[in-house]
Amino acid sequence: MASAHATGPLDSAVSAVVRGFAAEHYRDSGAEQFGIDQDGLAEILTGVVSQRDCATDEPGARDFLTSIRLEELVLARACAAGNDRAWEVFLTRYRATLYESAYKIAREESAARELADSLYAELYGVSEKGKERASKLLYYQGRGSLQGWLRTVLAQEYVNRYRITRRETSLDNALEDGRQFEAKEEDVSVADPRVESAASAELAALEPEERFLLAAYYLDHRTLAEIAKLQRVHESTISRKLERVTTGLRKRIRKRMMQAGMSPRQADEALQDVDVRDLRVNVGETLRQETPGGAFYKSEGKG
Amino acid sequence: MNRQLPKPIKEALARQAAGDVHPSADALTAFVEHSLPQRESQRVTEHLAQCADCREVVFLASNAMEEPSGAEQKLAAATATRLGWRRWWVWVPAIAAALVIVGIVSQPLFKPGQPERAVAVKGLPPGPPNTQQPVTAAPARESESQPLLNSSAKIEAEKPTAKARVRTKQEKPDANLTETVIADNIPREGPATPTPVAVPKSVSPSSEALGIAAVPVPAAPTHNTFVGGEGQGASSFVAGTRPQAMLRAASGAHGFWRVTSDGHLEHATTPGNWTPVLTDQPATFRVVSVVGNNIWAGGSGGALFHSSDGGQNWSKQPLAADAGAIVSIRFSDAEHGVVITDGGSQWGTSDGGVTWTKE
Repeated sequence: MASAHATGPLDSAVSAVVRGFAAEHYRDSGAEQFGIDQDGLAEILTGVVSQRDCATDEPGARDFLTSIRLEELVLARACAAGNDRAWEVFLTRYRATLYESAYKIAREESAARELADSLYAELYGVSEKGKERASKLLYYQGRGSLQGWLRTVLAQEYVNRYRITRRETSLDNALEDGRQFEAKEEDVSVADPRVESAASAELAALEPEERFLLAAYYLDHRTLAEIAKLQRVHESTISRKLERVTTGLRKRIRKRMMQAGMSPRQADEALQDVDVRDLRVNVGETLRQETPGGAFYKSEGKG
Repeated sequence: MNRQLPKPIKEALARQAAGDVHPSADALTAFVEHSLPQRESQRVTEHLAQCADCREVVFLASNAMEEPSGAEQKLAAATATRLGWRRWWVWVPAIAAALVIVGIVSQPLFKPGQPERAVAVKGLPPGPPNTQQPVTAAPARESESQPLLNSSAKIEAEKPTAKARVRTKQEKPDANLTETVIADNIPREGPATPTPVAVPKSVSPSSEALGIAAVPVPAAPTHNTFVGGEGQGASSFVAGTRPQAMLRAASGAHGFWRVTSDGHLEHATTPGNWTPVLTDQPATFRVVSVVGNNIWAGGSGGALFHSSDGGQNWSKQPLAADAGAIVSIRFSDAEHGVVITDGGSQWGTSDGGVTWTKE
């Protein structure tokens, strides 16, 4: 799967902004210690800016450049270029935290070590037979911290691996349970298209953040604390938001269903929390939003 | 919270498909770190609402982030609590006005020939009406400062008195309760001789706000900022843009503390008897904070001193020498606190100052 990148050539004004920025911040960037000269820094920045929406927008480019983590970007690119000094700095700064993050993600020591080791290989850019060595650090563009980026990449790798393992485990378990010949159960509930249509329409009318909250809480079963941490608000704020969104959503869906011709009783029944007709439905399978195969890295563009 | 969502809604939620294009690790990282521009953050949120894979990634990455230090968590909780009180702030002007009116009607404070400031001092009951005497303020100095007060300032000057009266009506404060002492209408010329005005935490939930309101207003506007007072009894008062007209002071079970306008730390067991403290230190102090028996004083060159026995013994805290001048000290309890320097850097401790971490 591809990553979303806007790409475009730099026009001359934006190029001038990039060169000016490189000249102004060359000393602060630490590029010199890794053998990157001013032109080299400008080239790195040009590569980053050209992949953003601001490629033709002078003020936008300036704002973007001032927002990036320049020093970490330079370090990442120097590592990708195989600079020994850069690797020394990288290992000093990030080695311990990388393993810690891997452990927090995998929650099991051997899996965490395997996860971190495999990422190291990709960061170093171990070449496959005959292929050019390319470090994964080239994808880092300095928009967040390098440490945060390493965590995200670890998490992506973990999600890819975990899902593959989960499928294999599920099959093994099914075989052990003697369910290999089990017939697939049919969903006997008869869905009223008016219900489906009302729910879809009202969900689509929600703000993205509201849908994200609903999905995280009700589909992924994330805790209020986890959501609150991600959004940097208090748990009670998330709780109140969820309460408000779900209450409002139910009311609006009910109203829409009644407008579509359902009686109040039918509408209420359709929105019951637990319906006996649902008991035979494999909800987990129904709700899965995962895409088949590995979701990440497949055709991610170079930074 | 109830995890049940009607099945039709759940199904409709799950039917939303994100497609094959995912945000880059770079964008997801910036999203987790809240450094994405708003427009782009909206786009990522939209994607996350539809993509279970990316949601899992951001939650894994977020959960793997370092936990905020204990100090940060406590301070955040204290801030959240304080935010809760903000809804009551709308009543603060009305309450303050009512207290002022009651004060004026029942007990005239400004009599000809008397200093304009009536003061309630910790531990002393208020005197009878019309006989209450200022305890610490020198009359001569008070009269010198008079021209600095305009008519509105005179009305403002009554607020501490009204406030203090409320406290004495309640009862003697708990020994563990830290009070914030604020005194600011000192003359700009000459050394500062402040009058402490006790503002107990127990007066009202928004006593900090009232404490600010209770500060007598000098004729010319100052830009003082109250930044402390979070958590149980922590307080600090920070200089604004006019240090000469500014006093930073606090009080606790062991008396009163202040930083004079020329940057010296002083202590008084009884109001008015100020004794210089840490005189052998070259630092120019900027702020003092009291949490129970713990006294924290900070100033130039990252100087941060701590006493855990009410000022008997002091230890210098291991902050970097290049940390800058400390302008704010916030402790939520004896263990957890944060100091902020004039350069904007922030240092936190969760072990009562044994170790400090730059945040």
